[in-house]
Amino acid sequence: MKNISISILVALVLIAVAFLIAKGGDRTPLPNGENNVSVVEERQIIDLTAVGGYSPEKSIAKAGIPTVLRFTTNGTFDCSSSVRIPSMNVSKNLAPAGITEIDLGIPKVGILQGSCGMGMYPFEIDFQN
Amino acid sequence: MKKYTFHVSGTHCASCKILIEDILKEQDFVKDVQVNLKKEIVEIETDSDQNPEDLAQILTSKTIANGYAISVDKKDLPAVVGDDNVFWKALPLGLAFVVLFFLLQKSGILNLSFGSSITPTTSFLIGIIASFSSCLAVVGGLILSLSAKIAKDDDGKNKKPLILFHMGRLVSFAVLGGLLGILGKEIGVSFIFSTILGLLASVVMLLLGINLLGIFKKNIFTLPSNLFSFFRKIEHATLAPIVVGIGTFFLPCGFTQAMQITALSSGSFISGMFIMFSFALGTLPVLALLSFSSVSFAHSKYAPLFFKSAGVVVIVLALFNLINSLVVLGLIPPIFNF
Repeated sequence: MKNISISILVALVLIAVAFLIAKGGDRTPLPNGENNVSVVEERQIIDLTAVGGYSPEKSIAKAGIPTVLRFTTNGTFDCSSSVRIPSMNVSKNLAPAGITEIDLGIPKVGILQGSCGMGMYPFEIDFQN
Repeated sequence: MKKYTFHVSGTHCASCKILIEDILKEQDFVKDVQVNLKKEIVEIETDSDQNPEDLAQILTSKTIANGYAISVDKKDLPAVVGDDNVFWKALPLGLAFVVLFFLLQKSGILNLSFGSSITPTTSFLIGIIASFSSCLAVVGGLILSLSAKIAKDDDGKNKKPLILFHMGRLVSFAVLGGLLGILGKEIGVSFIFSTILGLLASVVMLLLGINLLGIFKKNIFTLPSNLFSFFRKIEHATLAPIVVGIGTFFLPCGFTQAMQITALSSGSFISGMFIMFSFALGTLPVLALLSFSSVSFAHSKYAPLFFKSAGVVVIVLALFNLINSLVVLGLIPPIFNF
C-alpha cells in the first residue's frame, strides 16, 4: 500500500511538472496591422516562420480576400517543415531553406487550424470580417 | 546433500528460467538449481537442514522482488506474485522516462538550424538530432516495443531479428534515398500513406505495450492470433524484421520527411543515397541502444521491471502518436504544443 501511494504521488508530481513547463509560454495574438499579415496588390499575405514550430502561432487576418500563407524556413529539418492543414486537405513539405507559399483561396470567417505533419506544432489563423 | 522439488509461480517469460536460477545460485546453501518452465517447478540441491516449508519461504524472500514465489504445495502459490509490486515501481519509472522525453522536446534544444546546404556530415548530425526528437515517439517506440517483446518471448538471446531490422533500415534508406534522387521533385511519400502507417504502428505499440505490462491475465488479454503469428514471424523469420526496417522510411517523422525532400532535390542517385544513408546512420546509435539494451535487460534480474517500464513508456507514446494522427487527419484540434 505504501508503495502504491508513493508511486502515485511521484507520478502526479512528474505530470504536474510537465504541465507547468508546457504551459509556460504566453501566446497572445499580436494586434492586427503591425504583425505578420500584409496586403500587397489586393493579395493578403500571412507570414509565418517555420523552425521548431511556427511563429507567430496565432495570426489574425481578414476574411473574404485572396490570401496566401507564406512560410519562411531557414535550415528547418524538424517536423515544422511539413505543413498540414486538415480542413483544406493541405499537406505540403517545405524546402529546408527558402520561402514556400500555400494558396488559401478566399477564406471565410473562422479559425483555420494547421499543424506540422506529426501534429505537435500547431498554428492558427483567425479570419475576421 | 538433499534434493527438493518446489512449485514456482510468476514464470511468464523464457528468460525467467535463467533469472530464477541466477538468484537462487547466489544463496550459499543452494548447490544446484534447475528450473522447469513447462512444469513450473524448481529443483534444488542443498546442504541446508531446514524443512522444505522453511526453505521455500527463504527462497521466496529472495525471488519475490522479481515476481516469483516458491512453495512446496502448488495450492499455496498466489496466482500473480509480486506483479503489483513491480508494476508500481515500473509506473513512475516509465512515466519519468516519458516526462524527460517531453521536456527534451519542449526545451527547444533540438531546434537547431543546419543551414541550407546538406552534406552527408550534416545529414548524419540531423540524424542524431532526429533520434532524440519526437520521431523517437514513433520509430523508437515501435523498436522498443518490438525488441522488448522479442526479448521477453525468446529467452533474450535472439539478436538476429534486431540486426536484420537495423540492416533493413540502413539499406532501404540508402536505396530509397537514391531513388528519390533520380526521380526528382514530383515524387514524394504520400501524406495519407505515412499517416496510416503511423496509425498502424501506434496500434501495434499499444497492443505490445499492454502485453509487456502483463497486467491482464493471459486469458483476458491475448494478441489476436494473426497478429500474434505476425510477431512470431518478426521474431524468427528473416524477411519480416527487414520489412519493418524498410517501413520506418515511410513512418511520419518530420526529420525523415525533410531529408527525403533534400534527397529529392539532390538530383542524382549517389547524392540522394548518401543523404538518406548518413541520416539513417545518425539515428542508429539511439535506436540500436534501445533495441539491444532491451535484450540485455531481459537477461538481467531487472527483467520484470524493465518489461513493465517499457510497457508504460510504449503505451504513453502510442497514445501520443494516436492523438497526433487524429490531429493531422483533422478529426480533432491540435492538443500538444511543443
